[in-house]
Amino acid sequence: MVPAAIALTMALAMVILLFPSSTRQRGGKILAFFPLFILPAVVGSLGGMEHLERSKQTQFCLSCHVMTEHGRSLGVDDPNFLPASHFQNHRIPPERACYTCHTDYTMYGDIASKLRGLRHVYVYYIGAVPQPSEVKLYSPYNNRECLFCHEGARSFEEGVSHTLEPEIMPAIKSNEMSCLSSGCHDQAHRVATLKDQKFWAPPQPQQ
Amino acid sequence: MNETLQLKVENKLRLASTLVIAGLGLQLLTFLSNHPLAFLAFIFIGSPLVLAGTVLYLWSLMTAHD
Repeated sequence: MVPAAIALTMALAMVILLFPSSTRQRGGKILAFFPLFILPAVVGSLGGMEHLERSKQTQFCLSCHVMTEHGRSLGVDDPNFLPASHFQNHRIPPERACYTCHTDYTMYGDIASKLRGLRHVYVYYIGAVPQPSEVKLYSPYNNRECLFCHEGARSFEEGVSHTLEPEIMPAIKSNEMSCLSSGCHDQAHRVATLKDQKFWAPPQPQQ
Repeated sequence: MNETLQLKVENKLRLASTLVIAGLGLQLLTFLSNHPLAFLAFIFIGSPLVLAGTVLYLWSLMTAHD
């Protein structure tokens, strides 16, 4: 849709490029206004939004080889392995696995995150690329991402470990007690351990 | 509008069209790939080219009656 609109705008702009004298008439002036002002603004905005949507795809994140191991960790055959169990059981959309749990990463975060995203591109192509096991979050994982789905769910609200002490649930919900780093659900990507893991092979769709 | 001024405006329109076509062409190519570089090329190369063409077009309108 968007590429077709861009191609159409280019074709109209080509008319002005080849026949600029057509703008001497009123009809030509109106014709020029669309491909040189209105349509570029419209297709540019639509194109930007399309790219933003595409960048939420798992495939987009894994297109940088630094992330390959994090992508592999989604296939670990261990129900306690948090990202893998969410991915394999479709608790998150598999085609948007990364973005669903990392909603404030690089271009989706604040201005500092956006600048970090640009720095990642610089480091990836020009700097010293870190080992996958050295890739860490800049700030502790925010419980907000977990609570977006789990808050209000019976299994979460009535979970034994969540209700063991009256102060636990408020601490989780206020992000004072981390879901991941407090020793409860700390089996996140752990790419350094992948060589010791078994992997699940999803069934192939039948022809 | 005299002929000389008209030709100047048409030259600006040619340049504006070229910039817009170049920018849009690059934006179109970025849709062939789902990669961070394609996104950056769209934002930091394609869009400024289109913007430059559009600004030049508007400038040609403003100076058409000088």
